[in-house]
Amino acid sequence: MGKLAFLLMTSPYSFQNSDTVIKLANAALKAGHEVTGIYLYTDGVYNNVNTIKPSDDRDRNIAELFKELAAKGVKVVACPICAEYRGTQNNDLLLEGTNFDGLGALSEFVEDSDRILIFTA
Amino acid sequence: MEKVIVIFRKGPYGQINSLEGIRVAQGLLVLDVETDAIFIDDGVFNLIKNQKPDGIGHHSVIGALESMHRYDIPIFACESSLKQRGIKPEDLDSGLEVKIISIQELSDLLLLADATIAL
Repeated sequence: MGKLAFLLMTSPYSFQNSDTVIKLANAALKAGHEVTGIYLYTDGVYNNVNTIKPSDDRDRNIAELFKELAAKGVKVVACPICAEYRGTQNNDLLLEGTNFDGLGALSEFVEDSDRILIFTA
Repeated sequence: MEKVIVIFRKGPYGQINSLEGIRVAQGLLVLDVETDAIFIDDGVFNLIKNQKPDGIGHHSVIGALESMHRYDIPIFACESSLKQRGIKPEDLDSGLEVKIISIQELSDLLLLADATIAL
């Protein structure tokens, strides 16, 4: 069984990347692989903001889907400096089960994984 | 503002541009602005029939385009963009009543518009 890590660099809803990361991570877990972590970098830090709320309630709530992954034991980590730049480095906005940690956390994900999948614009 | 053209340049999924273009067009309708929708480059992929995006958790762009078209927004597609991508007229969703136009006709349309919004 393999070990996967994800690097997500785009905001939710504007791109399909967030959906792809969520679906791939869930599929990998279901297949018995390990997901070492999901690192939210640059605009990716908008994915674990707990005020995300689609105005169409039939639409998927991407933050909730990341919360579910975190509840399955997947580390979902956002870059604190990227969040600071964007005004979202605020523990009141931080999605339950996720946290802020610097690029050292990303390098640990890379070191601990067989593959890192990178999602950018 | 009398006439606005919304230009769709990206494919239907992968990024939000198409759905937002449709929202912009609907907003213009509310303001009673005459609006055309032009599909060029990868934008022509929006018009292909039988799209089934449920599996990726996205709204159907075709459904949204059909509802936009029902409110009298004409839909134009660039002939050369279709040809470059091997898309034939019969591949397009018939409910959209797509008018296929040449680059020359497209330029004429653009020159008549007071504003264009390209997404």
